[in-house]
Amino acid sequence: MTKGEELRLIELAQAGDHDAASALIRAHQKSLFAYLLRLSGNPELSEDVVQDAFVRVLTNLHRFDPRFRFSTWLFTIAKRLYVNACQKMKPVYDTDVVGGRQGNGVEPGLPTLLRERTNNARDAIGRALQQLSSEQREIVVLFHQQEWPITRIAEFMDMPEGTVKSHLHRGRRKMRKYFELHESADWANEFAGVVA
Amino acid sequence: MTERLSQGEQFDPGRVPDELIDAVLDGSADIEHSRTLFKQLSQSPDAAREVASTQRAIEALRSPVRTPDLSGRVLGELARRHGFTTPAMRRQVWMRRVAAAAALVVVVGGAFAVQRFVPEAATLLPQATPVSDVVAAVPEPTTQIAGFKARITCGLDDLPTLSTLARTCTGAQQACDEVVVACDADSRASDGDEPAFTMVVLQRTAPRRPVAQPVAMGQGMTPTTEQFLALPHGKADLAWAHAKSMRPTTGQDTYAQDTYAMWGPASGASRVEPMMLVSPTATFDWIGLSGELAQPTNARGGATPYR
Repeated sequence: MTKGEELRLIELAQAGDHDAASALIRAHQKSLFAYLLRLSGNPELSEDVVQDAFVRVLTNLHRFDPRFRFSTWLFTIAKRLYVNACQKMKPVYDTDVVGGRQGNGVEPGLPTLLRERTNNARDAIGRALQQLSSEQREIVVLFHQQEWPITRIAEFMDMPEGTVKSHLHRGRRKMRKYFELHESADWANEFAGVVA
Repeated sequence: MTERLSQGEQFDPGRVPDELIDAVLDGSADIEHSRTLFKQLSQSPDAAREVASTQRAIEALRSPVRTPDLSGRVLGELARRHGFTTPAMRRQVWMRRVAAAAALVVVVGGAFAVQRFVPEAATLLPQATPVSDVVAAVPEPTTQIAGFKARITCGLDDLPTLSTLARTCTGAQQACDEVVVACDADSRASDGDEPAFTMVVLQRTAPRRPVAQPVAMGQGMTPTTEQFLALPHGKADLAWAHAKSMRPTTGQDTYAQDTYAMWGPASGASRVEPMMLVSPTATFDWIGLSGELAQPTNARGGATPYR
């Protein structure tokens, strides 16, 4: 969606157009949900925060400044809601649940073993993310999953770019170590199961 | 490129500095450093395994997440809260629309009346020339003409993608000498992430025409049309270009302003958009291709012969 189309949808939604509001939600819910799921590891919490964030955004559309990105505004509100939710209840990073929510991006007909390995890699990344500090995890997710540039992450997190890079590099190294560990462990277990 | 890596730096065989790996994974390494990394990796299996493992982790992180459609729930919640806006806000929106319509009627009616009854009063001061006219009006030497020039008009909300430019250029059955993108200036241009460029010129060779004189950007190089066309269609990820604004003043004079634009994909978008304006002293080069862009959706204009 171009920025012009998005602004048009925002205007229509502001005037009460449900179709436009629905289009806005559909355009952003996937990335927002994925971001929150990776931060929290909790799909129910992520769903609740996404819903609440959209409700807040749509009821406050008149406050949106079109000079800025709509998605950044949405993510900022969602993050605040997530932090508030975390303060109310301390969530546990449930990697099994996260793994269960993953979509199946594997081509049909791929050997079962390979498919299993792909799913295990997804579980492994959940466990690996769990090892990062909240800042490292958020920056790694924003950079690699959401593909935000460093400058945008720095603005979003109100941090110098150098600090963002530092968190990114440390987080990525830590993630790689745990990912490697869990990936190989999963693979060994899986192989043992197949041989047995 | 990271400040800690200098140009042409030599590394011991088998030693792969973390800074180099980070720069490549960040996408901030230039071609030379990418080549250095791959060369070093070929001599260090442990480091190669480490990089491969990191890339697998990143791929896993990017794997799709099954997302529930929450639009129904959100709209239901909004309906429960009596709509998107407060009644006062709705009244305000409605009143603004009525006021805008009334103002339009008054302006159109007034203009019609003035033109009909006092035609001499309807002659306005010299008009600001549109940017595209200014560009076209600049004298072009006729002795050095070869090939075609592709011209694409666009608005700031309707920018062509790199693949559109390439397609337009090759559509002329001949490689272009130049690709000119003329965009209308916009009042929003100076703020936020909307760049203020009004024209971008990609050249084949050194500057030939007054309107197409990019200044060399630091140690970087000016992208030529040939290099531009060499980009795989639909796979261009990032490119930079020199932009020269030609802004009409209220008289017939114009002034030129050099700006530099970097084009790259907006986050999550499938098209190339102007991403940022950078300092004229900044150094840019071609940057690696990694993304895959969807087919352009908003191309307008076409190739025209260079007279």
